[in-house]
Amino acid sequence: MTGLILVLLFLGLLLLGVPIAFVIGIVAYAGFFMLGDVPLQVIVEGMFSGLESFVLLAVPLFILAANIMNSGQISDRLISLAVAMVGHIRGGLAQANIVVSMFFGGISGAATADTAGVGKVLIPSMIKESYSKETSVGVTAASSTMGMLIPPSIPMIVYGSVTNVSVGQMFVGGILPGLLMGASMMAFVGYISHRHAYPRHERVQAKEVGRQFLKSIPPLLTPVIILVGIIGGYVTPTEAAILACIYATILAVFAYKTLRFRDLPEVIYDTIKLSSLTLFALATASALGRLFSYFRLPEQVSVFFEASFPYEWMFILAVIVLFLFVGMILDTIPAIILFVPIVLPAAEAFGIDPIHFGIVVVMCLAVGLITPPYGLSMLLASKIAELSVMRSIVALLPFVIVIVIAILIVAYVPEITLWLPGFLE
Amino acid sequence: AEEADGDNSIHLIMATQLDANSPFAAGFEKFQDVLEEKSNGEMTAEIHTDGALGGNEDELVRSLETGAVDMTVVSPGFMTQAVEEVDLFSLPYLFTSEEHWEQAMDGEVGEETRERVEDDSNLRVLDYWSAGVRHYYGFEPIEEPEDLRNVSIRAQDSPAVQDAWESLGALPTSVAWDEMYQGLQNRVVDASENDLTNIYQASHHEIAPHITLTEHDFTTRMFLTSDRVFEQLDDEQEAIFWEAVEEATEMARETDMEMAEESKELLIEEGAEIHDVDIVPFIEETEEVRERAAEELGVEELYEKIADIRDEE
Amino acid sequence: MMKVFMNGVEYVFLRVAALFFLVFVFCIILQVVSRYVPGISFLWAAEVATYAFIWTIFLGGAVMVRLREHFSIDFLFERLQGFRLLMVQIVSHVLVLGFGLVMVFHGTALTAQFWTWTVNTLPQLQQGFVWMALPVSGVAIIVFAAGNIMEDVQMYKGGSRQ
Ligand code: NA
Ligand code: NA
Repeated sequence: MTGLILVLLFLGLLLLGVPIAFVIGIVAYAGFFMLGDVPLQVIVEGMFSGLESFVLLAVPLFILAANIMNSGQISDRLISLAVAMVGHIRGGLAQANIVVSMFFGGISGAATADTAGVGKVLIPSMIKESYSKETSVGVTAASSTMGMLIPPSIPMIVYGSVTNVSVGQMFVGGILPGLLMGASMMAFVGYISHRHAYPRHERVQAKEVGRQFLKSIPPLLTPVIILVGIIGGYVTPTEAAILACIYATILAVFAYKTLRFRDLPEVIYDTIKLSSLTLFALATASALGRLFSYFRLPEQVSVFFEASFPYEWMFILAVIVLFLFVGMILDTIPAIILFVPIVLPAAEAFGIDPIHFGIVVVMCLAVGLITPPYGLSMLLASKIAELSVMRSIVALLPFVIVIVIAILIVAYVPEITLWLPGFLE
Repeated sequence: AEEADGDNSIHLIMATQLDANSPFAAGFEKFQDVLEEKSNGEMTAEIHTDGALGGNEDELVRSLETGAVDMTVVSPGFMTQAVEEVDLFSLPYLFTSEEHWEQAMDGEVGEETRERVEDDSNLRVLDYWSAGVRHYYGFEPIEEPEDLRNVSIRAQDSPAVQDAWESLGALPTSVAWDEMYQGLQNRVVDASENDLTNIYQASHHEIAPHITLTEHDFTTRMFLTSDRVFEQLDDEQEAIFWEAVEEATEMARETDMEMAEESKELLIEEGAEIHDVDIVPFIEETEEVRERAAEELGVEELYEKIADIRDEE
Repeated sequence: MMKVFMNGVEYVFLRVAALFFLVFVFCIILQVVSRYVPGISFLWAAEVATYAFIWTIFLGGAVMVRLREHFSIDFLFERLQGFRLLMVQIVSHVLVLGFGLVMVFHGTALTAQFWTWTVNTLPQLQQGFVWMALPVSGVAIIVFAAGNIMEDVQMYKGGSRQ
């Protein structure tokens, strides 16, 4: 009964347009009120404790690194390289959009930084080259979801902190699934480009591609530095994020001279705004998670999952459906905090590797960035393209299907995820 | 939890960050059984394990203070946020044998500590539990303090603990426990220290197989509740409560010993090498650190008492 | 007048948040550096960084109320107009304001309760200063939510006059 009331309250407030972070907090407060057993301070204490984790410091730091790179026009450089590499294929700019998201995913831990940074440049140029607004929004938003899979990745850091799975192994495990997502999208874009006869750029000479590549090496080294730092044991994930920031600053200020020191405050304010958006919601989600614990929800769900899905393949399918749905209404980080502890025990009972499980979860939640009601990448891209949200949703639907196929492949072929981390052991 | 109106029913929320098979959980279950049986169901308890109500001890102590949790078990290091003096019990070689620990904590030392905590906070120490004996482990065994020279070791975050390792010539650093497996693998640190059960469960012996029985910490854990809980109990209930505490303590300590034995066997089975060592030089070289820490914490007398019990043996 | 006041609060909050942000960045750098320089270690660096981070997020979270950038589902907002829209908006702001009250009320209680407690690795630092982030953020959320209500009312009045 209590549960039903809380679910209805949640949906009602959501529909009313109350910000989601507050909806979660209010529902938690109401829940503790109905529980009656514990003092109501627990709600604020839970918010505080939810943020009291050193690993989470990596979140603003990776956002900062991406913002510095963006304002340092390093993204422009990556875009030029991507265009030089794949621009000559039919639908070249769309393909380049996907390729640059792979590059950018290696710099940024947050997919939305990619949508904003790359979208600002590529959406207008795509429209100018007579791509439909739908395709431009679709490609930009969908490809940016790869950022969550290609290291570094904020959701993976949070997953690591919730489960004690090594963040380094998660990072490495995400590489191939991320590339698979990219490849599937490129295949799909290739198909629609032929149907719409989208333009191609002139083939760039190999020498020019090489020149562009050389110019882009420093930013492309960022993920390498991060991975070597973490896997080599020189730094923890949080400290690696600091390295990324320092490296980005050095590149932007000294090497490329595109970022002036007086621009830094604005970059920092942007970072604070974007990270408090995510993390304030995480704080209230932690309080709600605490409420779940008092109601013993994790144990119940765990038992339910084990009992209802006798076969591993059924269980995996159920997990995918669950997290696709959760990703639609919740931000990635609160979703991980609230739902991973509930489902992971059942996954482990089936003998599913927690790294594999984590990658599948992150992929599913990434889809939430481009689905209604509040797919953040979708909203950002539609704003840039000035395309209505409704039409953006429709435009993204085929991409969602493509990504879901990629998820199914990754889910049922664990080797794709576990092959690379295997070398670390 | 709060008392329901009109009747005397009591419901207690017990929480630990450890798992359902841990000695703490075993103690909690015993507590619950005795409480519910002796009170004919008038008093009940619910148990939350695996950090469901707070993954770290910091949080659990705070929850005790706010009433989000009624009973928990924490290490002295995390009690210091409320009562600084209890940091004394984090010191290496404060106790030098199982008997020494028991005599102190079940005797005058334990009583005095209990009083201090009660005076300085709203918390109450019900009894003293243990989380095993901590030992050194690394890539090589150690035979004397000299072997620790320039060895980087992951030690607990207490200043006194770090000083003690430094006084032995080691380079103590702080690394999160979760990150330690990789930390050892990549040689971020050369060594670590913990009790056998923790070493086994974290699989650290797979990488650093040499465990030297340095016995530097017969650990003390505090089984806690708060004043708020006692205010709800009538005399009869309080008697049952204490009975349950006593049996819970017995169970928790017993389970702790059993698990350490089991872990030791499993460790050896899985290829870890366990080395004995003469601990006297280690005790001597850290003496000064302990004395200084006791002075800084303002607990010289208590420290003297503990040392006296050791000397009597 | 209201706008000036709110802009002022926002200005201050964002700058204080940035200050805390710099503190935590500095602490993490200190932690990394100290690991590679034998003989020095700053045990408190990670903990202080975490608390500065918490301040940053709670202050930033409040500012985002002012900027109306917390994610929400604007399904109804897009479908309603005039007085009905205003009502829905006000209900939404009032709920946010109410949550701000919760943060102030319980946050103050917690700050008082933990006032004399200390930070584990830095006993000189009282926990009260850490917990204060909650009520302070709550106050700002109340101010900003109230400001949003006024803005929406003004917008509605302006709209109906036309
Ligand atoms: Na990434
Ligand atoms: Na893209």
